[in-house]
Amino acid sequence: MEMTDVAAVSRARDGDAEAFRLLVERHSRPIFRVAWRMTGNEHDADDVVQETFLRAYRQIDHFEERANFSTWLHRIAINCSLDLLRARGRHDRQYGGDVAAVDPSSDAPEPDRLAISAELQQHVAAAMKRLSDNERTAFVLRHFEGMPVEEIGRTLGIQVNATKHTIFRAVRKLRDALEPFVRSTPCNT
Amino acid sequence: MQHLNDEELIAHHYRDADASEHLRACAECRAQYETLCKVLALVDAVPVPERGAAYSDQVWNRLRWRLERRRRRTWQWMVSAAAVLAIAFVTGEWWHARQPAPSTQHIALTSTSQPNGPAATAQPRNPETNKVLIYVVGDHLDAAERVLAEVSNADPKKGFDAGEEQKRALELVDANRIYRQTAARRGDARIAALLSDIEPILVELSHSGAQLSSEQLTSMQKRIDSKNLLFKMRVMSAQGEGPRNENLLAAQHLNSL
Repeated sequence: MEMTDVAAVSRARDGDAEAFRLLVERHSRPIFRVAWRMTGNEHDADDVVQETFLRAYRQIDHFEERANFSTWLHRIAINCSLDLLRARGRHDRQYGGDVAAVDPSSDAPEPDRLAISAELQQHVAAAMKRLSDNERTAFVLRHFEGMPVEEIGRTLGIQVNATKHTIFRAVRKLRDALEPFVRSTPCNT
Repeated sequence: MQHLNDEELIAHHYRDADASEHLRACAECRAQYETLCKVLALVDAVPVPERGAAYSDQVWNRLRWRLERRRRRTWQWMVSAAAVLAIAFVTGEWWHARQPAPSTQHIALTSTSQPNGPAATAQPRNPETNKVLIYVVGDHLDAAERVLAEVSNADPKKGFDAGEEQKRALELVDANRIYRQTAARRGDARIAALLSDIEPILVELSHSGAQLSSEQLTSMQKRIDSKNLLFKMRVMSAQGEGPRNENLLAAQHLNSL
């Protein structure tokens, strides 16, 4: 029978390295995805993944077993991403940097991947870059991760209403920046 | 009809509110909502760089190295703490030795059977203080045992990257000397002898290059094995932790024979 995350955490706390390895195996790719969406840069995302697991290992005694390990880990990843972006300062290399370097043919083709040009990817990256750290975090967590507003608020340390407004501002900015590029296809209401 | 604002459209999109009825009835809001959906679909369409099945192994391999380095730092901290404890202990001993001896009259009043002369100094002066010595030396022996175990377990055919052990040995040499001198002065021949056996190996290791040749490694391994140093160190450490550990070690040793 497969070991649950909670059981693996419990064994990792007792010094079982293999149990922690299992957690790395299960969660490293989802954490990479959220890190990439936060940083917009592959190398930064790799660094964030490393730092996330290192912090998780150090803080594993603080993990409450009734909580969801994946949510806890995502929160650490978001904090690591924010730390990395803040450490660089607003005038240094921030969000993005290698969107154009993504090789659309690197893996199995997917409809979405084939549907968007490198130029459009750069426009999306530029629009994401214009979001503040809080706006980007709130948007990534709500839009890509499907995290509830209350949970996002806890992650950012802000009230629920402020969180909602942060998400609204992010979406509005993206809409304003990308509206000229959208094709005329209908969407379901 | 009052139109939906941006917040309401966005809340509807994320299922935080339901504006379906209005959207069915209002073409203008429906058009706004469709634009919003297309923009978000465009954001979704940006591909995330893929990480293959081996990604978690790569993460783990880098992580393991960093965790190992962190454990080593903790270990170095423990060595430093043990060294501080040792210095405190030796200072206490030195201070005790400098205290004026009780007057003859006082001895006559308090003791009738105090041994005197060289025979008296050959025995541990105070069993309780001796327990403290064994306890303090126990940490040092644990640390030294790990270094010697690494050397003992290395494969001479492959040579040995001794960089890390060299640093540890260098940190342990001075403490070893202090403990050996203290044990000799207190008359604990057993501890002093063991520390004397360890010291030349630690000194040699601390002065060796980062890469030990097969000959150097084999020579050290022979010296460690011939004096059964690893087992003696374990027994001595266990004595600092109480009789239960001593019995356990003795049983393990018998099983391994």
